[in-house]
Amino acid sequence: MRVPERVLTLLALAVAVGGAIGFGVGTDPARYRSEGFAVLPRDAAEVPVAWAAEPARSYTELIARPWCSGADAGWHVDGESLRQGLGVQQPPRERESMALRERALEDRTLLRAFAGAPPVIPHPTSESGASACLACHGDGAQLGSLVAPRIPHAPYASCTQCHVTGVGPFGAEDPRRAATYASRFEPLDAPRAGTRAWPGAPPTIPHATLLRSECLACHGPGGRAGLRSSHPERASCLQCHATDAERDQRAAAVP
Amino acid sequence: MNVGRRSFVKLAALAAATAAARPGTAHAAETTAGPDGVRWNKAPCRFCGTGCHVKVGVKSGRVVAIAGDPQAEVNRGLLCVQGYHVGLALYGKDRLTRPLLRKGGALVPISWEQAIATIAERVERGPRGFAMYGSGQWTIPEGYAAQKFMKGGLGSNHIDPNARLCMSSAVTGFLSTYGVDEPAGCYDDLDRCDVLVLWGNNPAEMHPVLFSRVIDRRARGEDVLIIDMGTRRTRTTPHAQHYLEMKPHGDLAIANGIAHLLLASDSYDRKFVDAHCAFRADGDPPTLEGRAIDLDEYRRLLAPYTPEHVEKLSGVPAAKLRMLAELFGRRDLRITSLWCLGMNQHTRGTAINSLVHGVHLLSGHFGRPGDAPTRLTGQPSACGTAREVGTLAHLLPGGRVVASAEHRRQAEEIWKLPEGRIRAEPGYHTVEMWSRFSKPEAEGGDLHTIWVQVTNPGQTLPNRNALFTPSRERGDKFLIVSDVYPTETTRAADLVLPSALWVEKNGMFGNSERRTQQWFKMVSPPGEARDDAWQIIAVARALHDRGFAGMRDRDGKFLFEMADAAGKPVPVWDWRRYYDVNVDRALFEEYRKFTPLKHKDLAPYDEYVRARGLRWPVVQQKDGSWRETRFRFAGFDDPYVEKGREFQFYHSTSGDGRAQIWFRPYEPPPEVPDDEYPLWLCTGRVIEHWHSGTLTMRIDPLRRSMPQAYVEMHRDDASALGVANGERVRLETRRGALELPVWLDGRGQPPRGTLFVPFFDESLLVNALTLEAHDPFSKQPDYKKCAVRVRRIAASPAEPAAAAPVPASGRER
Repeated sequence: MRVPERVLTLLALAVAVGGAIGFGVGTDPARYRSEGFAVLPRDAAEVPVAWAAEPARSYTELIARPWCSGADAGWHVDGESLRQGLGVQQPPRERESMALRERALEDRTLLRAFAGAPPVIPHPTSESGASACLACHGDGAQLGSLVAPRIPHAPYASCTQCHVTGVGPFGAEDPRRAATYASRFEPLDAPRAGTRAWPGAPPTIPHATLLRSECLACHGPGGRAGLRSSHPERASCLQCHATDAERDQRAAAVP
Repeated sequence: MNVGRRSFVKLAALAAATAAARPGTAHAAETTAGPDGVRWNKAPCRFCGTGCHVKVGVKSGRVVAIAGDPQAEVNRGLLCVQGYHVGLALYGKDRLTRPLLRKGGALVPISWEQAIATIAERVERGPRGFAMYGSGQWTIPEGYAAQKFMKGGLGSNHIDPNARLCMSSAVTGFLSTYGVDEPAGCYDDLDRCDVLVLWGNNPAEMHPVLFSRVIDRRARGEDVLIIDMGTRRTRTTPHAQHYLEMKPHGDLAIANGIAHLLLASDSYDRKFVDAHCAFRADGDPPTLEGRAIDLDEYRRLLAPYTPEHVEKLSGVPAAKLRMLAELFGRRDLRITSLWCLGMNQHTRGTAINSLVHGVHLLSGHFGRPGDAPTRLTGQPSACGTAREVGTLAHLLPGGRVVASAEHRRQAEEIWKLPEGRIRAEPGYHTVEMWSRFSKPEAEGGDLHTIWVQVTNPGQTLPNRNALFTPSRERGDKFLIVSDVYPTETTRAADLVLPSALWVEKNGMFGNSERRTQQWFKMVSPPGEARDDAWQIIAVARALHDRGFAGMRDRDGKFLFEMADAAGKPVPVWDWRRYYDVNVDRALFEEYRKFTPLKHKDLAPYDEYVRARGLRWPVVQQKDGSWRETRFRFAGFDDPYVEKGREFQFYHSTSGDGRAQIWFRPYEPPPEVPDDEYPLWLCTGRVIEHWHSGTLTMRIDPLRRSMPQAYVEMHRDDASALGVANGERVRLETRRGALELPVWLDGRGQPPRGTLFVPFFDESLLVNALTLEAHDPFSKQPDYKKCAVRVRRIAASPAEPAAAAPVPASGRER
């Protein structure tokens, strides 16, 4: 089949223009910098230059050689971590182990009355509203070893509707009060793992997803060690991981 | 039988539905457990009047988790911090688990039989001297049982709820404006309004789910103009475009000022007013219905309320008042007003309620979605139980009043009572009840016993040194308290009964938007704790068995006779048999008969089992289905408006289908700061705690976040006094004194000359300071303003938290 010369010229032109735009956009460092964190000291040497694209592996390759294994053990997703304001000080990835997961879940429990409860705020707050919260928790932030996790749900305008501070305005409560009002509540324990239809199948999500729809907030590179996904570069979690109608309480169980 | 998981779920759901439909089944909370062993079931939240639905997760007979219910229209899956933790309220370690009787100064355990017999003896001592004091936390069936027990059984109208202290001025406002209680609109207005006017209201803390329903619209690109009128800055203020700081009672002047400007600029809605409204003013003597006036007289009465005069009375700049009037004068905007206790706890509460309704009627901002005068309530069933069941001293169920012979006859007919059983004279309202209970018989103290259920008057009555303490120091007054935890009230009681709480029993609530909700018992109450409704029925039966005539109807049958599906009587007064039938269903189906009179029709019980609440009137359609009503009095939605009419106020006090636009004058507050007591004192809530903190103090995350009360003070007042943040000061009013730490630039920011103290802390009782002065119509006291002075406590730089007193819980156990 003979292709008219005009078409070929147009095609070539389109490729050239697209490439030029792509090059300009792709190299603009501002596009990778999360707004609002310009104040953080950002040593150029600490920013890993790792967004040189690596060829994608096929799914079969991934089974034998997953991300973050072997030579890629230190690999982490800079686009995502920068989006979270985590561009600096990212420790080399530890192998996500059951021990780490247990520790992560324990840490989470300290801030929650039961699995699924809104966490309390582990630091003092001002009365300046949602913008103050979102400055750090909107995209997530890290300063030294302190991590401000990204919120796992779409932002609401009144954070303090669901989240209260861990201590009162005058510091920790009188222990005699704590004793007077002690509780015998036994909380729902954090879920451990989803179910797999067969070994190697993607696990189901072991918790409700209502208000926990931004998976990468906890399971992305900014999440606690032990909960982090081995493949955070895949943006559509629900493509492979099913929610559970019963855990999500969508089943006919409730009249 | 090999049943797959899916079909098992289906079978279980079917079984649950069948169980729910079978009248003999008491608790049909038979849902399937998920993979983590948790069964989820629906319930309305136990706390405020918003009426969110929560999902309650139960495992091994205990509540282990709570989640927002995405199927609920009210909250759409979201809750507030109290709602998320409501399940923890059941598990404080000091739950009351045995009946306790005061013997030789101490409360000692007794059996339920002894407890019930003790109450029966107190009734026999003189039924007219026996009063009941309940609350808007009574479930609908509980309140109905109490109502029937008192007004039908004892022939005594001395039953009143704490709702008297919380929303009775809203009731009188509705009655004097529309001739019938409760709002025309619903929460749908919040999704549609262009302007939200807050009249002394702090929904960001007190009704957070409703407030986020408004402000989250902004994230979707919608514009909502929020105007915050109040006596201090709150968590709501940063979300508002305008903050109008007013002097206490300034709201009366502002409402009249808006009406004045609407008339002066001819921007009122002439068409709406001509077709649907009439005018009223106080007669001599003033009554709830008042006297009819015409537009000219209304105009004359409003003439003094020029913007400049209103500025002088309210402190709100004339220009801001003009802005408000211009907004109300625009037909292209939809305006919703919100208010709660700022307007209700007010010695002119009826006046300000009717004036705000009047501003909306005069400007035609009424009845279209988004155009609504909307009052909120603070208790989960203040509407359902206190108002609709009518557990107030002057009411009978379904909007009836004891003063009407016709209404008494109707109630006697439904209850099958001999004619004349129900007394015509209203019983004692809350302040009167506790004041008489405090006095010796010779001085008018004709109440010898009060039975308190689901509330904590020892902490929440105003001026407690006058209304609560005296009876505790007298030997001849007997206080019975049913509650779940030790409180200021149980500690002072003569007999304490342990009660079941929330999902430990079946229940029904009615929220602020006329929505009736139902839930099933999901877990067992601890120890010997039992349902409040059972306690009432058991006492009624004890009286019946002891020959008390009032507990029999005119056919000689017991007032609370119940039968199973086969018609076989079930002795529900025997606790072991109580859940053999669904007592809630039986009581509710009887109560339903009362509801059509005032067009507050309720659907059969089973409709509520299926729904996340339904808004009354719920009217059966030709196809047999039941339809709720979102917009009352509006022809497009309310089935009781005559065909073809845009609006019809079918309970109009003028009898012609019109709503009343009231003039009521500005009046100064009952006590104003002077040289001796130079500051204002306001009291209220915080988001962490609900009411007297009985439940929320036992919820760890909430208590840790807000462990104790404090006093908010302006920085300038603090420096004038020479106190620093966290330092303790002494507050003194003419009625009492209290020491508290100062919180500068804290949760709220009062202006110079104003202090604010939350009332949740039982070890720092601010109601020793408050005023019992009350509205002449609603009898609701004003907790929001009185005169106070503050002193520095010399040499007290100690740790404020450590210096705070510790409640003497279990002092007597």
